[in-house]
Amino acid sequence: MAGKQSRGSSKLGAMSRETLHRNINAARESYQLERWWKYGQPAIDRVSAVLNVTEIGVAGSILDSIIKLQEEERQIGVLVFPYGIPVVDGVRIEVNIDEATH
Amino acid sequence: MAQIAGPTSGYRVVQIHPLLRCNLRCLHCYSTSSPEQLPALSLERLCCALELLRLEGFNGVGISGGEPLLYTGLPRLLQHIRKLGMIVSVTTNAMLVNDARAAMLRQGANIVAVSVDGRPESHNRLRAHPRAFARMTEGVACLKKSGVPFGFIFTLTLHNLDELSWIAEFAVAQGASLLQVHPLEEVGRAAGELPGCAPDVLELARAFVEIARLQKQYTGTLTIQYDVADLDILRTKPERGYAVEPCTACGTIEAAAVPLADLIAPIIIEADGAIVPLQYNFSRAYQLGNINAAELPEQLRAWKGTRFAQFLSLCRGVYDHLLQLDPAGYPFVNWYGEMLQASHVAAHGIANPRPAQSKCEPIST
Repeated sequence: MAGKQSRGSSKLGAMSRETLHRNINAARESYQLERWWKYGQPAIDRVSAVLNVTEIGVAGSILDSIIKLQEEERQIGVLVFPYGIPVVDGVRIEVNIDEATH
Repeated sequence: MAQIAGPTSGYRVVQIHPLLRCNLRCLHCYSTSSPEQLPALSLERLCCALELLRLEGFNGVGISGGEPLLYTGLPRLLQHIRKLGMIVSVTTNAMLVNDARAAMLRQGANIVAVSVDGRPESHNRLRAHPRAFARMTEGVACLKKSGVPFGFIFTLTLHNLDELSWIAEFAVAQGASLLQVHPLEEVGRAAGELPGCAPDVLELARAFVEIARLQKQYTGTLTIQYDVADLDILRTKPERGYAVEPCTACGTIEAAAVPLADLIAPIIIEADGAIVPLQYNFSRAYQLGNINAAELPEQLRAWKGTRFAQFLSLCRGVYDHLLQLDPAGYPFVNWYGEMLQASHVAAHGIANPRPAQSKCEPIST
């Protein structure tokens, strides 16, 4: 039974400083912290989003900002569907973000 | 122009606290949210501010609180944000989620984040409510039925890392796609109720190993997000901590001519309308403006021209401090917490008080 002020980690078992450092290095092989987020803000890089843009004038800048998210470790997939044919009055943008580092 | 990446890189998030009213009075709350907190932000002013911030380059919105489901303007706010083409998340304790509200979230939010603090007894104790866990799971069932993507947020304290594997299993069983692990910050009500309970560097390091283990176990099923900075990454990418000189940040262009999101993100709109950098309760000495005041564009221009340099100086100080820590020590820090603390020290010459005696109750095992 844990004591009143016991650490959560102590309930997982003891680990020497050397072992912990070894385990950190091993864990970094598969898990890296490229970005860090604040409380209450789930990482939106885990999002598959569908944006229905009804103002054609801003659709271009929205697409531009999404495409700027592309980095070496992050692939951005974007599908754009205009609607209101023949007179386009909106755009549906589907965004899929694939992180390679996690 | 060389953009400053910031801690979330190209994701430029505006976090909104439209109200501090909440159906709970959680011990670990970083604000002072409670049922008695009545003021709420004007929906119209919020929408106007978001239109401006969209033009300033922000592409994501996080809605928190208080309990955002108590904000009567939430459906219209979500609709407006989606119309602006911004990705939006809503953070809730899920106790008030029913089928109708789940459908509204499905319509308006890209992801819903539900707070969970451990096994039922731990959750209920931190939430100061005997049925908090039971009602949360009822709400989550509605979210699942509606089809809106959702995840869980777990607050890591000095004493509850042993509950994380249970939480991960729970999250998978509920159909969550994301588990966010965030270290407790001793601000707001938590400063008084849970002093000394924030995880230290040793606990953050043990948590990293545990999270990596769980991530491997649940690969393809659950993404686990850990909200700490790795000093080795920060060292090689100082721009993630805004540790850059103003000339590097803005090239030859005046900061005033640069979109705000290229200079700073995330930013927070607090329940009184103040816009502050990075974190709720950041020192008002670095405030960017207030959505309730006139001429918000002019306020933001003024911030870029004057306080932005002070903000970068603060970031550089925190960066230098963190990298001077014992190199043989543990490499993970709560960067947001460090920035918050430093903002108050720099502004007032005093740190937020951190009493030595902990009032934490043990986490039962």
